[in-house]
Amino acid sequence: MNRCRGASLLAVLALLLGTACSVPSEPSPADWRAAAIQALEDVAGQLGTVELVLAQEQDDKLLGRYAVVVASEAEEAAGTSAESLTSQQPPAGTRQRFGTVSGALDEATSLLTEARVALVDDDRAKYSSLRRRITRLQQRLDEIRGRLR
Amino acid sequence: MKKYLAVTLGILTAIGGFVDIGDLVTNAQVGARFGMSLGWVVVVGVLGICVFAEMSGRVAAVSGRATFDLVRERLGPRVGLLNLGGSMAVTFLTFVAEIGGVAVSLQLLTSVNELLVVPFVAALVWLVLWRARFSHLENVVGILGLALVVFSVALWQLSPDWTELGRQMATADKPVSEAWTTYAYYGVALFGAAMTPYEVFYFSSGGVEEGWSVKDLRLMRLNVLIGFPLGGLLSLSIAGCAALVLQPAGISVDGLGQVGLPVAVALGKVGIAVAVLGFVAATFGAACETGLSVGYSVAQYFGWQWGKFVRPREAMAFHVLVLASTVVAAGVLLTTVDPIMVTEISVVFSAVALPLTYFPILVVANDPDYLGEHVNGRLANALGNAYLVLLTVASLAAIPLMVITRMGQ
Repeated sequence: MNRCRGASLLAVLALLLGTACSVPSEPSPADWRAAAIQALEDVAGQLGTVELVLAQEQDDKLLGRYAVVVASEAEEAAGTSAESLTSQQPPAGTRQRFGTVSGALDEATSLLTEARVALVDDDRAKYSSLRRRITRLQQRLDEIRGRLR
Repeated sequence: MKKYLAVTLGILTAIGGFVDIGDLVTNAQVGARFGMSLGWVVVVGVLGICVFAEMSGRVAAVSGRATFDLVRERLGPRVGLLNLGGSMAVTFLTFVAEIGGVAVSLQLLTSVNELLVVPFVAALVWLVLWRARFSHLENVVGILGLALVVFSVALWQLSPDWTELGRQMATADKPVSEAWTTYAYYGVALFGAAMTPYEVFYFSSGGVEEGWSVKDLRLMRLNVLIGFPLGGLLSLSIAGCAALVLQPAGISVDGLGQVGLPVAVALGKVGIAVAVLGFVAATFGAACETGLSVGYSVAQYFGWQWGKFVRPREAMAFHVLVLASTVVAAGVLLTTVDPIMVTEISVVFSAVALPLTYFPILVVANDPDYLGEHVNGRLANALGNAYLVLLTVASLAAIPLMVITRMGQ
C-alpha cells in the first residue's frame, strides 16, 4: 500500500516537473501587466544609462574602457529584463498589448546593441543620432507604460 | 605634534574606511529612486554606529579584550553562538560582496571580465591579511579610501539647490510614483548598510590589535565621533550625486559603473579616475576588514589565539579560517553570481542581524566587572536602548518587506 502511494506521489511529482519544464508559465492578467510595467521601466532605465554614457563620451569625460563596460552591462541587463517578460505566456486578452510591449522591448535591446557596437568601434559620428533615437524610444516606452497602468 | 598627527591619521582612516560596497550601491540606488528623501536614514544609522562603536572601542581599551571575546563569557555559549551565527553569516556575505566589488571596480577600467579577476583579488586579499601589518593595512586603505571625497566635490560642482535637497531630507518627501513599502524596504537596507555588523567586530578587535588602553579613550572617541559622521557625509554625497544626475534620467542603479557616472558628468576624466581609485580602495579595504572579522568572530568565540599582533604560527587556526573563508568567497563569486545582487542581499540581512550584534555590546558595556568606572553613562544607555528598539523593528521588518516588494522592485 505504502509502495503504491509512494509510486503515485513520484508520478505526480514527475508530471508536475515535466509540465513546469516544458510549458512557459502563464501569469494572471494583473501579474502580467505588473511584469510588463517593470520590464519597461528597467529597460528605459538602461536606455537612460547608455544615453548618459554616450553624452559623456562625446564630451570626452570617461576614462579608458569605462563607457564600453557600462554600456555592455546595460545591454545585458536590458536583455535579461526583456526576456523575463517575453518568456512568459501572455494571458488571453493581452495578446495585442503583448505584441506592442515585446516589439518595443526588442527595439530597445537592438538599439542598445547598436550603441555598444558604436562605443567599441569609437564611432563618434553616430553618437548624436543614437542619443536622439534613445530619447525617442524612452518616451515611447514611457507612453506604453502609462497605458498599461 | 606626534599626538596631533595620530589624531588626524585616525580620523582620516575612519572617514576613508567608512564607505564599503554596501554604502556605495545602496546610497546610489536610493538617490536615483528616492532623491534625498531617505537621507535621514543615513543620519540615524551613522549616529547608531557611533553609539555602538564607541561602546565596543571603550570595552577594548579598558578590558584589553575585544567585545565578542567577552560575549560568550558574559552571556553564555548559547547566546554567544546565536550572536556568532547571525553576525558571521552576514559578515561572510559582505566579504563575498566586497571581493566582488574590487573585481567589478577593476573591470570598469580594464574591461577584463570580473570572473577572471576574482581569483587574483582573493589571493591578494589573503596575502595582505597574512603578511601586512595591521597598522599599515588600516592606514593605507583608509587614506586611499579618502579618494571617495570626489563625490562630495562632484556634488558641489553640480551646483544643486541645497535648500531643495535639505527639504527632501527633512520632510522624507518620497516621489509620488514610489510605494511606501518600497520606501520602507530601502530605508531598512540603508540602515543595514550604515550599521553593518562587521564594523564593530573590526573596530573593537582592531583596538586590541593596536594595544589600546584607557589612555587611548579620547583618541578613540575622536575617531568615532568625527571620522564616522564625516564618512556618513560621503554616503550622503553619493546619494546626492545620484539624485541630481541619475534620477532625472530615470536610471536605476544595478551596477557600480552607474554609481560613478555623476562624477564624470561633474568632473570629467580626472574625477572618474579618482572615483574608481576610491571604489577599489573602499572595497579592498572592506574586503580585508570583513575577512579579518570572520576570523576574529570565530576565533574569539572558541577561545583560539587570534589577530595580527601575534605571529601567524601562533594563531594558526585563525589564519587557516581566514584562508578558508577567502577561498569559499572566491568560489561563490565564480559561480557567476552577481556581486551587486550579493551586496543588496547582504545589506538587508545585515539589518536582520542587527539586534544579535548590538545587544551583547550594550550588555558588556554595562558590566562593571569588565569596565569598572568606564561603564555606560546615562546618555550612552539611553541612546543604546533607543537604538536597540529601532534595530529590532528594522530586523523584524526586513524579510517581510523584501518579500512584499520583491527586493525593492
